[in-house]
Amino acid sequence: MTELDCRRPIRIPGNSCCLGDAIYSGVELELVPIGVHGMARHRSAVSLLGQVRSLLPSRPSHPEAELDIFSPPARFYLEMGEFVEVAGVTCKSPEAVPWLQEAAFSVLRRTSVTANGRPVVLCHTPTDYSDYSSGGEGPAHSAGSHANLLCRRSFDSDEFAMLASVLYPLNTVFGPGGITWSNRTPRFTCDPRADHVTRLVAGRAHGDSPKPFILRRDEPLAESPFERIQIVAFGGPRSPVSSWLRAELLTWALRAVHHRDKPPFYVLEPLKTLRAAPDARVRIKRRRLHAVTKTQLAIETVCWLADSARKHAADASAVRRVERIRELGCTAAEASAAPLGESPVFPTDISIKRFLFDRIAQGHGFTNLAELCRAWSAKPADGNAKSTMDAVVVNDIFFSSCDANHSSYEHAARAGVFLRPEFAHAIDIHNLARLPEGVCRRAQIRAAMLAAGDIEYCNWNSLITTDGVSTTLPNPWSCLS
Amino acid sequence: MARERTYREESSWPETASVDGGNPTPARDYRDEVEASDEQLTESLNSLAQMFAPCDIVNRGAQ
Repeated sequence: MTELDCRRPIRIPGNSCCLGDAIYSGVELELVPIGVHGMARHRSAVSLLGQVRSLLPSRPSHPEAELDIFSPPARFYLEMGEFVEVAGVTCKSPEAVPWLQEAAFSVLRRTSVTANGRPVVLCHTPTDYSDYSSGGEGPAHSAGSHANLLCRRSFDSDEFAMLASVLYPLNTVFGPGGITWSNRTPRFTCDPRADHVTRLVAGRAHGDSPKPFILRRDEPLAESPFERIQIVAFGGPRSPVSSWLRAELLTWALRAVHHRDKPPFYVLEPLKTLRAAPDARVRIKRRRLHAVTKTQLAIETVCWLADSARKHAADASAVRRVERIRELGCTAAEASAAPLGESPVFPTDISIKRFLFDRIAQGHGFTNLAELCRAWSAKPADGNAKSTMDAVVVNDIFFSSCDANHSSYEHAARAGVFLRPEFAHAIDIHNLARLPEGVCRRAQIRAAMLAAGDIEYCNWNSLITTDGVSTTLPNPWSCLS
Repeated sequence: MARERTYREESSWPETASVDGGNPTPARDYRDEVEASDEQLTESLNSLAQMFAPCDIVNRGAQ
């Protein structure tokens, strides 16, 4: 077992890592305006996007798309008429992914809208009230956090199955954690979204459509033979450490499939494994059948992915990066399953939420969250159990709030529940065009031109300058072929 | 008519690219980082729960 060291701040590097072929990646995060509904929610989202436009160098994608804004760290846009979606720019190295999310949050933190005398707060919400009120039997309305991966070639169904098989246990490493309900029994889970995932691959995930593990995107952002896929099985973690681990491990997994590296085990019950708690036993097949805990499987998977990634490391510093992620990944998995102790805790979403939810339960007279869950299950309408569970649910949702004053993550950081991770490439709200090295070059160029005021309109693949020059920014893979 | 040009991504990794392998960060006394007391944390968590209710959280249509 790795000894947990929570008293050293985890430093997220600013330099890119050279692991052979680059895997281009990025994250889209859906943020829901909480506290308003219907047209009021639409108006709030529009107002927030208008404020974003005035806070940083940005241009719309075309003259009639004022709510589709491209800025140095991200594209901000209105999704489904009522959500604010943040799509981080493309990265060639995964450590840039959490930096971009934190930079986008630093912008959104400076926006403000009120309705009915209280703030409208943007949150990423892996679960929602219909889940809670229906005891897990309602429609699947989790907000999305799509991890974009640019593939050099299309995968066949066996390769998609292999990619997913490697990833099933890893939400215990980087999941957002949270409360989920099944058969009206609440429990803490690695990722509430896992309960909504019902198929391996699909082309859409909106509304009531069944949520897939992988979305295939047939679109001009990745022309044939290249393909853009999205891993949509996981909710978006708030902690930059969780976000960093997710980005690294997803790219390692994709690289392994590209190179047809096969793990020495196979997950027999995919959805059960995806939804399992860290200490639950799951079945895998090596030469014969085995039952292991999800934590053991996650650690074994991280180590196998590290061995696979190490083969592609170009130099000694890349080998050190692989070892660092292996160490952090294994420690995160162990921390998700470890008995709760005193703060500070390991700075992942799961560790921090477990600490906070126990704290809330204890503040209302329960021994811990598990006892609260049992009490709520027995008497959902009971005054104390209901109000305590309400408090847990609200703090679960507001964990990922962009607003520092209404974020249980931020409250926990200020109280020393965990030590804030550090970015080697500092985030400067006044100079967000200075992107980390791991951001791909076309996004660096666009950022510099946005900062200089040289762009009239732009999108992912092209821009038009103020003097009328049209410039193509093709996807990185097509330039390498 | 708009002039056109095409930007190309780098064809290989620059030789000067440096990689951070995660050098050990010195330990700090985490108590130096603490800005709020235990009681203030409890108060903040309760305050959020009083300001909002679970029924405020509806994602209909989300992905």
